[in-house]
Amino acid sequence: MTFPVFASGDVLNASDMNGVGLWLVKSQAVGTGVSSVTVTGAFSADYDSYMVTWTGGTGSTGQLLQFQLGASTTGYYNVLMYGATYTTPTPTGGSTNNGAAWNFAGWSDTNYGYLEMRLFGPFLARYTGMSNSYMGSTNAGTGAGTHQVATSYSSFVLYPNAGTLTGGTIRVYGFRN
Amino acid sequence: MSTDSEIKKPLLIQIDDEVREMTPEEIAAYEALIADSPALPSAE
Repeated sequence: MTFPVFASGDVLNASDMNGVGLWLVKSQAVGTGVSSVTVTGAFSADYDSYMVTWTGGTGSTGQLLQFQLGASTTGYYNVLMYGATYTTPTPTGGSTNNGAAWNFAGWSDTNYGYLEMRLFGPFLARYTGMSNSYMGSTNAGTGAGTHQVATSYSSFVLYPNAGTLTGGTIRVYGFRN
Repeated sequence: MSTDSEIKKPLLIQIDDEVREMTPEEIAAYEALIADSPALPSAE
């Protein structure tokens, strides 16, 4: 078998399957008009690093998305560097300094909503790292940060800083160790 | 008579597949979080 291209009827050899880099861990549909979404069973000892996405949903208004690990409401640090507007992309930054959540994790409005975040070590009892893409309706940028609490987390919370979320799917992928 | 704008919709919390109204304690925690959520700063 020639990895990673498989033919119909091929045997799934352990050596090939162990070479698969990204696995879907959990898929969670988002309800209608919810102010926050908690996804449990997202992180485990199976993976050190993860990607979390939300696609296909909308927000009730233009709103930034916030992201928390478990029930932790302290120790979040992140910086988002972004172009001020699509018309005039003056380099601009926003930050969270020991906040209650990672701010600027994503964006949603009545047309769309997207979250794309990579997490490093959320299940490990050490500080967690993250990087994300911010895809706003009037501007965009990239960010990174840390959660400086040395605790293991298996769940996370996604919520907008105003209004509600409706629909779409949150997906959690694990990067094979 | 209350108008639509005067009727406050209940805040909904979702935990996995369960969607329900927030408890008073959850509303207080949620409102504190929202109050702590900054907007993106404007370009200088």
